[in-house]
Amino acid sequence: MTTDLPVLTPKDFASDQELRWCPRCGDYSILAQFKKLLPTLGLPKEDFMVVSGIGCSSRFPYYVDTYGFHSIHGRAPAIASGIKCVRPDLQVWVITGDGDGLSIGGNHLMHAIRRNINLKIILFNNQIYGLTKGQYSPTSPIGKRTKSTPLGSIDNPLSPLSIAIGSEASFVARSVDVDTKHLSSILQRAAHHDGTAFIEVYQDCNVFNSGAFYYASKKGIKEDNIVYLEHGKPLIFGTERDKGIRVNEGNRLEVVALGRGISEDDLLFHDELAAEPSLAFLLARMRHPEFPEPVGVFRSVERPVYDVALEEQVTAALEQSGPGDLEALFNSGDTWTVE
Amino acid sequence: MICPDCGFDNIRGVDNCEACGQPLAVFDPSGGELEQTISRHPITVLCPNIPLTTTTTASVASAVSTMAEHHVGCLLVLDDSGQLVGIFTERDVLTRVAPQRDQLAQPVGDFMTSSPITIRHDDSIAYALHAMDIGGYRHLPVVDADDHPCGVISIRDILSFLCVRFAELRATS
Repeated sequence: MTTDLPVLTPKDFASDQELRWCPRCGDYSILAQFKKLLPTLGLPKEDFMVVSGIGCSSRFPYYVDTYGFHSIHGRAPAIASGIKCVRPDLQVWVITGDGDGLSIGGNHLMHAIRRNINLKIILFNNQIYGLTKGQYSPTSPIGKRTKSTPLGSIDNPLSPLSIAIGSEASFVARSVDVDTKHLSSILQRAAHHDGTAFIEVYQDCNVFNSGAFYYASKKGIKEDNIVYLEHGKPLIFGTERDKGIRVNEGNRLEVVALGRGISEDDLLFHDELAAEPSLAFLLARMRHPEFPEPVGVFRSVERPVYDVALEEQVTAALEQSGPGDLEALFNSGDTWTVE
Repeated sequence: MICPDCGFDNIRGVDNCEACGQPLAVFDPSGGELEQTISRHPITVLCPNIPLTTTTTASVASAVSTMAEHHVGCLLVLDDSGQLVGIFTERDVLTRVAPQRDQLAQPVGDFMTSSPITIRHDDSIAYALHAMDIGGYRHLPVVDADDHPCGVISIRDILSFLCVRFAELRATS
């Protein structure tokens, strides 16, 4: 006798916890799209795991009615790696921020991505330490004045996507918190990717860093400041879609106006399937105001998945050598008793 | 109905916000009322004053005279293209000009605070307070989408708003 799984809705994934984010925080939008995504994946609630570190972003597991783990600062990728390796049947999401993921957690993030463990990592980038009330973060721009940088930051900021691509990420994407339709599509793509999916989300901290991504989120302005990536299509942007990106004779990217001898065929065409990450890295270096900033899927390639390979090795070892005896292993070799 | 979390203007009666998905049926704000107030309200509720401006080449004497005439504590300093390049405040007069009284004929640009922190109309009061705290400012220029100055708010504006709001909350509690 079989029982049909209940058809889940976003409301089924809402927890009973009081949301402690500030009013108008960008996190609400990301949470809403996440709750809309989960029912579409055809998995029962108990097959989801949400792991976070520390920060405003990392309150996320409390607000989703799945298994969750609010872990320690920067260690979510490491803990999630362990969870995924011993429970490959679970879909594991990692929620982190620019502080949690790129300051203290930089190392763990790098290795989780490098291994291509089947994790879905969402990095909420608000360019500030929000939970601790407004110190600068690894993604804060040079000159940013905060409580910990009263004369302006002199740190060179990191680009989350550059770090991910440099760590050989097999899926890299960027979206914006208030672009709900686009964010939803990116989360869908990430959920179905085999391997580590890394998503940077531009997220507005309206109390400590309001307007950091105003240029990329405000309707009427963002059209000239962001370019939507679509595989196989040229990079075109602008309110009138009259501007494009091409590679000039010096092999550098440049913004050009369409018409006046320049057609769409002269532009750079996006290829998210490119085996080499060079194009993805080049796109990730496009920064406002010199260039429109790309949003969408930068890279989506197939690579061996760590947890799959691990399970295959474990299976092979079991077939070859049997289940093993841990007690016997501990007592093998030279042992002695301390009296 | 305006969503209390993201500000989206929903059709009256919907159960969940169309933009962020938060339930609208029951509004149970966390945190104190005043905390909610300054986080939720944009600075437009403070009715930013039309800014008085000067240029980098105007004399300090003329700037001080303008401030005194209009009873304002600051002037926004613009360049030739109308872009905001600085702010000249009564504190600059006290700390930078007053010690050198023979500098009154010198240009404002020599004594202004360059590249001031600015805010936009839809920034929250909480953010404005934070920005003032960071820089020790009492005034913040308000700029539009093209970064052109269009207003000024002061700590006094926020204080007045909070006093009125506090009284309202006391009256309804």
